[in-house]
Amino acid sequence: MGSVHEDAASHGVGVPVLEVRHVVKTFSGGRGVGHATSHDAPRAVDDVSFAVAAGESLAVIGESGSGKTTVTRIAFGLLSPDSGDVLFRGESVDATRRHRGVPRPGTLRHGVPRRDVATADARRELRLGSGIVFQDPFASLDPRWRIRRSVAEPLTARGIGRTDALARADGALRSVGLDPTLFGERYPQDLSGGQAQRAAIARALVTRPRILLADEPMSAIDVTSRIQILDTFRAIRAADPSMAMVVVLHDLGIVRMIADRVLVMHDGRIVESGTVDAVLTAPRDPYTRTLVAAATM
Amino acid sequence: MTGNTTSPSNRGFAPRAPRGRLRGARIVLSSLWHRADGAYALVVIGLWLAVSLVSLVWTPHPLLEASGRNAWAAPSAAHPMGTDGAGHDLLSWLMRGSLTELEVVVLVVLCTAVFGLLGIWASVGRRAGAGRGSRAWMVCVDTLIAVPTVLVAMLVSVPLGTSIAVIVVACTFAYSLSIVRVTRPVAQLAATSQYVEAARSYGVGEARVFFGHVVPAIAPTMAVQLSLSAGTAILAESGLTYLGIGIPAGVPSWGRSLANCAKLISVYPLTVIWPGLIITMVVVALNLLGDALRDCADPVVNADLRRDGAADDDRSASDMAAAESSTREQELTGERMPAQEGESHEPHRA
Amino acid sequence: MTFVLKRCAAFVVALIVQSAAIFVCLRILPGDLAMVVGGTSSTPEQVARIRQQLGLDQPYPVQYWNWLSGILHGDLGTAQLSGASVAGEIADRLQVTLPLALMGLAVALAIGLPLGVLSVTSRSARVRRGLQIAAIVAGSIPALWGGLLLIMLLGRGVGLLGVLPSQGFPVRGWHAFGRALSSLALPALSVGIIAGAEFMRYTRSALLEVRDSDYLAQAMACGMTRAQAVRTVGLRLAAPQIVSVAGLTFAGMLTGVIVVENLFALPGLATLLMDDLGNRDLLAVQSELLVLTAFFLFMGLVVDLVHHALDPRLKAAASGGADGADGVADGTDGARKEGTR
Repeated sequence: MGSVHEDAASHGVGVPVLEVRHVVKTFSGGRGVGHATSHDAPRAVDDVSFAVAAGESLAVIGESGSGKTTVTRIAFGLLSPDSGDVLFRGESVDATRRHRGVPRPGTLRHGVPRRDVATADARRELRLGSGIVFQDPFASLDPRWRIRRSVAEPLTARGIGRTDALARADGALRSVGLDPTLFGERYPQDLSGGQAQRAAIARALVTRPRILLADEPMSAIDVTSRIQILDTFRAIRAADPSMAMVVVLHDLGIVRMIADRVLVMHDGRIVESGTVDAVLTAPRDPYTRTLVAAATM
Repeated sequence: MTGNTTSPSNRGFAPRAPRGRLRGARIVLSSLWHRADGAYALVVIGLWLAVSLVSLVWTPHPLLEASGRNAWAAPSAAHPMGTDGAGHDLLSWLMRGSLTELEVVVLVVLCTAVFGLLGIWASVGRRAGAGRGSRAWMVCVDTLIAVPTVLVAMLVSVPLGTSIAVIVVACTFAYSLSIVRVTRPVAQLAATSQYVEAARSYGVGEARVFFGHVVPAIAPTMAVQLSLSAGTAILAESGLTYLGIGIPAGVPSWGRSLANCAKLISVYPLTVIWPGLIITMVVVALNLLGDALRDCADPVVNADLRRDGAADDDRSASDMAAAESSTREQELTGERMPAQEGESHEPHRA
Repeated sequence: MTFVLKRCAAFVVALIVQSAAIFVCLRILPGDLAMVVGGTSSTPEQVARIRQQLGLDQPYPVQYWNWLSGILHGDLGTAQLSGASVAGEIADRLQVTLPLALMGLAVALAIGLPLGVLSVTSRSARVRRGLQIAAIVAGSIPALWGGLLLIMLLGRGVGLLGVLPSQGFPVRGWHAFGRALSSLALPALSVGIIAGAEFMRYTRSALLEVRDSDYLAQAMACGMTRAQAVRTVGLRLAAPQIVSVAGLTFAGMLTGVIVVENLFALPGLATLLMDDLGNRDLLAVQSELLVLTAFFLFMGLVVDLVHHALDPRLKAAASGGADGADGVADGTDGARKEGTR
């Protein structure tokens, strides 16, 4: 069964914030850090394409081993694809790809686009213009750093002065419902799972990214705190409507509350895509149908 | 949602102002003080430092005052520890010697820390922390670590002569290899952790990642190893000086005093007690300090470093998470450490 | 298998690097090697003759090569003063140093193992704490002082109980077996007690590590008392680590005894090195250092290979691509990392 391909033209208005084109990734089993688990299919990601428009929230669903985590990591620049392209705001972040689109100021040398500057810029832009929320906040927040410092880290890394960075971190904490005077000086271990994850979300937001990746943001949180996280996501979308979001999930029940569109992945390919309503009420693909059926039980 | 400080999730926390940087050090010291072994260590080391400073300006007798008639005198009011073979007052020489020991220890610890960090960076600092380069490096370390300190000391004594540099070079070589081997598991865990992955995803540079995330993770282990190295350095000094390739002849040091007294043991056995006793007491203090630091210096293990004095925190899921992560870390930095490392405690005493 | 090959390759590389380091160190001298060998009172002609005799006038790489190929043929050069072959002298001295190291190791094991086990299994907290403190103190004693104290206690002619000789070694060597043995008794005790303390700490740590493991619980479920379980199962599990520590301790003793050999005036390997160093017989020193270093690297290699063979967790970790030579940590680290994912 062939992979369903998306491209910008099918639904987009203008240039999508993030686009993935014909990306393929294979893992040589058993080595390496990260998600190289022994039960990955031979091709973890098998010719996948999709795009995310500004302000849109895309859910990527699938079971373990479907490739959903791998493809999102590739999309956000944490992994390099074996082949295929990733474009951030229309520009390729892959150093070997030919630069497309309008040359940006300073990127021309003798009238010819400078490949290295353009793509290095694009890659940097992706880093600075995106935020990532990981699954387990107690693993993704340094246990030896106080919360405020962790939240400010993306700013201090860009050379923003400490007082400015901390002030902006305070603002980010407030925007996720954590009082900086109560939580700023604490260590992650002293927080509950929900509070810690919200701090991690604050960290992802502190650079005012154009697109956010949330990798199973609620899997490691106890059920009673998940509502807080959902509320937080809703609030931040309301506060910044132009920010896009990609949420990786395996729980269909949450999708409706958090996403506009859905991608269903299975064995490294996209098997279905569409709006939340379309996919959940009238799934076309048999795999999707079993997922939906299981979720409604 | 914003600024809602009375929501159920925020209940139980009291406001906290940012702390001063030295507060951490003060907490560690006070945790040490409350343990028997930590207190002993602090007292002895404190005395050692005090005596060293005092000896800079005063000793009961001038160091060079010597009268042949007074050689090998038994302890008396004028010479509380007796005199050595040339009539020097032993107490004065031991006092001044403590300054030399301090020099040796400071130099060894500094050099070991620097080269140790370099070694750790070489093995985990770069992006491919588990890659081939670092494995080759570790095999190197494991091989070289077998070479004993004394041989290295003898080797470098040829170009360097009899000097403190011999001790420092030989000890630094052995101890930095040992530190790299012992701290590597913790460093590896930190370097491959998700918070480092997260930092890199935000564009944090490699140097910042190493010094901001990896080094604080290994700092407690390094502190332990460095204090153990300090103790072994003193023992190395005494051995190497006795063999003639350590501190040169005219310079007072504990090893020098011990060596001088040892040469005539059959004539005046008791003079040898003091230098040896002092060395033993100080090395015990450094070893105990190392053991105590293991528990006191790591914020993940020592809850006091995380809390205010007032226990007003919400004891809920947060504490369970804390217990979980601290057992994970404790298993690495706690008593397992000596077991997996044959060289960590006293690599090749002289 | 790759681990074994890699480790052996590392051994060879390290040996070569060490030989180069030794060679270089013995050439960076204030002044000329020939001058140093000849002594301060030698005339320029004598120095020139020495230089020619010893081949020091040839370019460095040639010297280095000659030296190494000589060693591979068993020719370690000749001692400057006595004219005897260095290889012969080393062999001579080994008859003192090797037994001394073995006896010291025996003492260390005899003290360290049982006390280590006791410090874990004893019911009385005071005994456990006392043993811990004793271990720390014994490990902090300078070898020199320890030896002196023993002499003061047991040395013939000096000590309170003058039962054991405190100086020298019989000229007839091991032919005078009884006297030879008694000459080594005090020195062996000196190094043995200190190494024994270290050993005790490692035994204790290794046992603590396995104490709370499932293996012990299983053994106890089969009817053993905790003490029995620790002694049988625990020691077996901890054996790889203990073996490697023992091996390295033994290796370390060969120069660890240097102070003791000096103190007790034993004609051993370490004193040979020190004497030649003192006499500035640097070419002999060069070869002796290489032989000793090679021995230690070899011991390290053997220990690593034995440890690797004995500990199945290491083999699993190594084949999974982790760093096999890293000891127990990697094996269980890997397991823990998998578990938390």
